[in-house]
Amino acid sequence: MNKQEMFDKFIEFMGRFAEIRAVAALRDGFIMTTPFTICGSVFLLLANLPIPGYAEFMAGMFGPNWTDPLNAVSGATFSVLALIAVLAITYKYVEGEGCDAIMASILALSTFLILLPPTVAAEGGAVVDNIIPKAWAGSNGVITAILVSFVVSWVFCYCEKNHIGIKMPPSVPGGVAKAFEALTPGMVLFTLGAAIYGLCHFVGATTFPELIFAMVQTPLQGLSDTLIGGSIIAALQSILFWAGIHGPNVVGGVVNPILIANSLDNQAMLNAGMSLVGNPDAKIITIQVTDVFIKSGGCGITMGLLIASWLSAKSSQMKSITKLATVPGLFNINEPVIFGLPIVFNPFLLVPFVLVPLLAIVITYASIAIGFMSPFSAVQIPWTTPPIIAGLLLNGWQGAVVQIIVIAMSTAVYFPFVRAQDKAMLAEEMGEDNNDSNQADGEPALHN
Amino acid sequence: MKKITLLCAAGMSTSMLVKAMQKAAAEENFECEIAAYPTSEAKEKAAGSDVVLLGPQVRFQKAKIQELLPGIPVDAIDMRMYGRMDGAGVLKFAKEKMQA
Repeated sequence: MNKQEMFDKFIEFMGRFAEIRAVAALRDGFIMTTPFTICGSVFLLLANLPIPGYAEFMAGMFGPNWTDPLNAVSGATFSVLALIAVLAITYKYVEGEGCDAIMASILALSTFLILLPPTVAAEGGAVVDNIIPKAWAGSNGVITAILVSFVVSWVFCYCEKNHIGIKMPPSVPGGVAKAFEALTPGMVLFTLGAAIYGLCHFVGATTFPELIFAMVQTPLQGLSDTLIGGSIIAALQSILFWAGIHGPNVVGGVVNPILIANSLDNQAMLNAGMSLVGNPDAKIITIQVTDVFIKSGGCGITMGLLIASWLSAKSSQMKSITKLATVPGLFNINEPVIFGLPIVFNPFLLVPFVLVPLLAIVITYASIAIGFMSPFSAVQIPWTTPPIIAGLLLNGWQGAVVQIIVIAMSTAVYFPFVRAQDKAMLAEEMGEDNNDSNQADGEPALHN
Repeated sequence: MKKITLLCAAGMSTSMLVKAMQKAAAEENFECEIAAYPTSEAKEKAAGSDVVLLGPQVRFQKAKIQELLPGIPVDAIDMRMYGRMDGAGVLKFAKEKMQA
């Protein structure tokens, strides 16, 4: 099997994986939660600006409860992430199947609510009912939300596609007919919800979200929150991108819900008045680590590659790509380097492209583990925020320092590889003066 | 007027290419509407396009996008053209796809 065949096979396999309806819906649905987490973060950040004296100053101006309105926003975004996810994932799943997505989403919301614990215990043991418990509508309910979305979507699409339901004569307006068509899946789903609720309640004295949280979500979060877990995520993202596939998109689609839950757990500890620094229960590998700290300049931390190139490049190919890639690179967009240099299927650059993010994970993990940098709260920033500024916003000056160290490391690791690549390009350019080919030697001919 | 839609993971890097393509189109007086979106919004945003081009990093989603947009030619952009933000080259590719 030659390189081209292997490459095509790999693309085909990844394509099939990414096209599995549930995988695509999970990825695209979770992307829809981004505006909520990013906008919510602004308010969370305003309530907790890492500036000495800020909190005292605000309390002096607006009274001791000055953060209440700001916290109301995070209470309606982060704290109900599972509710948002259930709507979004179901919508994307059912839309992909070409069925009535909005009706399915609302059915999913109700089904999810059926499964939630109906009461909360107040301080002192009093049981309060008539509530929607945010403890389970937020990060702890994320896996339940995903499961509910899949089941509801499947049942709904099955009914719609097989015309199971109440038929309306053609004279009935479309909107009215649609509402009637949702009766059958609605009854099926609510009965199923009630049955699961009853089973958990009477047999296990628990609820479905609590069961899933203990049996599935906690172990998954535990696995993700290790140096090995973080390393696997980092390596997979790079290897996929090296093969020309948007790695963060594919890997993140599966692991981001768990990593977001990790960061929300940390926020819950902060809200309870606990400190995260040096707290052994705080999660270290969170969404900010995999989305920001191992992505300075883009996947593979190509910021270092660009700096190394600015310092040493002599070939006109290397120089022109570096020029083109620098400004987008400041905003962590690196397709010009990945496809233009290219890094894709380039054996020279595979090593640093994987090694640098792995070392970045180790550096970031270590700085949190030794207590230099605080574990991350729920605050997220857009992934296009330039490095160093991103660290500063997320984690104060310590975050900026860690990003500077990571970029320095990246520059050092990429340097010899950039030199070698540049030399090869220069030799090729010298040879080109004689023959007119501008195709690089040894480069696979990639077609679409 | 022809409508060309570019899709990538977040619609960010393709939006750079959109600029380059618009410049190329203006130079050759080719009237067209070019825009970039994330693949997750393919169905809403790309409907009614004359051609849909994917960034090479999301070409593994080609079959899924084609399924969402029946009747519209969908293809991936050549990796080298994409990396070098070759607006004129990609515009030529788009025209070929629209004629095919």
